[in-house]
Amino acid sequence: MLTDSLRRGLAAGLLAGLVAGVFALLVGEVPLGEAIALEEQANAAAHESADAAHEHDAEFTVDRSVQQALLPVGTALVGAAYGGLFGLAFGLLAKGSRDRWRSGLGFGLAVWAAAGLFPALKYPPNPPGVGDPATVNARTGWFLGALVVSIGLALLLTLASRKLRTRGMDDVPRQLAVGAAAVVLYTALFFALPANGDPVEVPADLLWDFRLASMGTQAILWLGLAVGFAWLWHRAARKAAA
Amino acid sequence: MTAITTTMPKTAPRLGRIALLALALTATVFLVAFEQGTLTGGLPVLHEAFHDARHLLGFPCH
Repeated sequence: MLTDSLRRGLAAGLLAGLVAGVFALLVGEVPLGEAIALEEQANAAAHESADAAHEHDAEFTVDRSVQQALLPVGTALVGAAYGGLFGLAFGLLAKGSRDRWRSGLGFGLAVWAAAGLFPALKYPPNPPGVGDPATVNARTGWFLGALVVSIGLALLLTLASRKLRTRGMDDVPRQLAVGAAAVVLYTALFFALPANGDPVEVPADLLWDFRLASMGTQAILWLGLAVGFAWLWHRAARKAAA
Repeated sequence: MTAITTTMPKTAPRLGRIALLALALTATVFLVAFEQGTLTGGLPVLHEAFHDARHLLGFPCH
């Protein structure tokens, strides 16, 4: 069960990551390229007036075309890794499930909300040119913290829901209670985490386009992973039944 | 609609192997998404290489 779950997670994640990478190339690269052009304009203007020209030479750079070519590679790698962890978690948490198509989809939706949506809503993705390099470690730390606590909360709610079910609580009151607890806890977590205070100085429509593209890329990765994973379980079950 | 049930083999892999795998997968995410150059002698090689993927997957950058 666990090995099968892991294998299916890896496969579905790799594929979903590739599809997300294609979407990111087609849709996300447009606002990303515009943001880089704006950043370079601002840099050029700053360098003309300042004597910081040498500062840039020491920086390590990778050609834009290489960065673009590695975009689907990166999403595929992250997709496969997420998929593997997803498969392991499903294998451990959903041992008893009988209809794996449904439980896989439900699990995938929950994982997307906890690991993808919540951190992205608290710390919205920003295009190049936004973000103070001096705060990158703090921002990375808070982002990771939001991710870990969000996943932890989801796990806690799942286990609590199970406990209530084994105690014989009816489905509807149990789901209402767990759902209400989820709303309260996630709202509290949202406001407890510190905001990203870096100034955002790109045009609003560019920012919106970028964030939409980024959220879309992430949604394709997570939900594609969920659908692919659940379908692979469904296919295996159908084969076993035949 | 009929529910399709899955039968599974009883051979569970050892816990150590699972932990190792989970670690390797987490390390992959870390390298692509979070590493800022500490592992590559201070130069942000991975940061720059996976620059676009990091931005579009919503990881903090710069």
